[in-house]
Amino acid sequence: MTCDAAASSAGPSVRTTGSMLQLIKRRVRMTHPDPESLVPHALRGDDPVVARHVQSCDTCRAEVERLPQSAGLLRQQRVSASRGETPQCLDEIAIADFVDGRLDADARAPVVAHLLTCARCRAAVVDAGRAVREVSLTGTGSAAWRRWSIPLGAAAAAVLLLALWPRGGADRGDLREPPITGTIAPVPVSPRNAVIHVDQVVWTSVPRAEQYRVRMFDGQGSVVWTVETPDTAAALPTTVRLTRGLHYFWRVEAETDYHRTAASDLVEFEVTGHEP
Amino acid sequence: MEEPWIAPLEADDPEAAWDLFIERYRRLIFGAIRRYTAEHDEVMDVFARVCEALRENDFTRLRRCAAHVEPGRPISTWIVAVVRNLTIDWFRHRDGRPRLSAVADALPPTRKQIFLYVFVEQRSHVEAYELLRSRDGAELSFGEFLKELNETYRAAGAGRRGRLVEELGGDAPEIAVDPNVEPAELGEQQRALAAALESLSPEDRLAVQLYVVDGMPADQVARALGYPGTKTVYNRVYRALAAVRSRLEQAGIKAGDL
Repeated sequence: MTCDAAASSAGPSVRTTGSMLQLIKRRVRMTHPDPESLVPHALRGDDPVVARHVQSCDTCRAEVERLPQSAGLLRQQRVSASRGETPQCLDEIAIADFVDGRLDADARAPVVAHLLTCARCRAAVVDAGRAVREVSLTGTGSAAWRRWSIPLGAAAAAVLLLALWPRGGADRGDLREPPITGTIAPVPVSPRNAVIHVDQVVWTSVPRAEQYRVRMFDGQGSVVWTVETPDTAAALPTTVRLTRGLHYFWRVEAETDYHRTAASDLVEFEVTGHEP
Repeated sequence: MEEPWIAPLEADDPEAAWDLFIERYRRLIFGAIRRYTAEHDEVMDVFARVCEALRENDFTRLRRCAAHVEPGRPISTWIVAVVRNLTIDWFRHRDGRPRLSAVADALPPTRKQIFLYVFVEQRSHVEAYELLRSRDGAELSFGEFLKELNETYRAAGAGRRGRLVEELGGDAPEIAVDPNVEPAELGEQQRALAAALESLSPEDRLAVQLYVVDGMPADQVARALGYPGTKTVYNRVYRALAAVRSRLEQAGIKAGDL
């Protein structure tokens, strides 16, 4: 879809030159994104390309404003949704098959029909999808999970390859709260570099942070521990056993108001003492 | 990905199978439990319950999973789904119930009742409102109830079991709900919305429900429903929202009026 800017008309006292004619003839075309491309930006706010276009396009900006209004009407209906269990509710295998996209059209039809009427099972489906993204899939470091990009993301992988460890005297270890200039990231305090023993992780606080999430990885990129806490320290459970001589990594993410998050750098450490 | 625990299970050596299974998936199970609670003792108690449930009745759950496994297919989604159900069940019905009650006890009387109806008994918000009025004699409008409900969500979700509480109670009511609307009017809206969406196939309606209402990422919706990609999800959502707007405009209702 395009729209052409209308050519201006010169007054009777102005002589139209050849170059002016060229300018008039040159059409300025504005290209709009496909209407469906407005959806993720309108509902989730996560498309910078569309965001830039919308700033200068009244048509698309109006559409972006209308979409959430209609979406809000659909969400209003949540007040009527009961989450009680019924005999028709899906078992875990059906939920997993649906989430993993393993059902063909015939097998999927009755699952879809049930999910349309069951808030309980929809919640289970949504949470299962979320969980497999947040939690380590094996913890045994199988071949599929040695790829850095899956558990850590490309940015974190790049940081790792730049060899953060050791940092020596340049380490930021202070615990004072920095001035509030925006969403600042927490800084891992301990453990870092070589440590005899790890019984807790500690980090700096972030102003207005409501929750922190810590994730610890082994050398093959598998998540060995994850915890969420409103504190700035978390005790390492005795069930998480760190092997002497191996390198581990951890990072902490702060969630502030309005669900903004800020993640620390990935920090490396090695346990040199005996395991507890 | 091979599942080494299946062979001993099928060879009638379930204890050996169990050892291999728990060695492989212990960390996943812990990680899945910790999504719901940060309390160390609760994590350990729920882990014990998960192990108990997976071993129950001669490892019935594990055997059903084993019968369903395909070579190269991870079972992680199944495991997190099992953990979720068992964790919620533990808090609602078993040893974790006193912990939920402790959350409720810290609330003022009306919000305590709301918590019990919505989060423990998992009733809909409308049901909870009707019960508050009929059983508990509360005299409050639906709009006032929604304010109390939102405050209950805020208080309940603030603790170390925030994610668990979210899973128990579902999403808080939409902020834009008209405080003057009554449940009966919401029913009429629901019928109008259903009529607006009836031109979509059941799968497309579910795509809209999962993405718009339940917050599932578009790529996961696409994978679950067998769509070629996220663009299909956005296309269905766009059509649905346009149909909703058109239908309601025909009825003389604008989104801002509701």
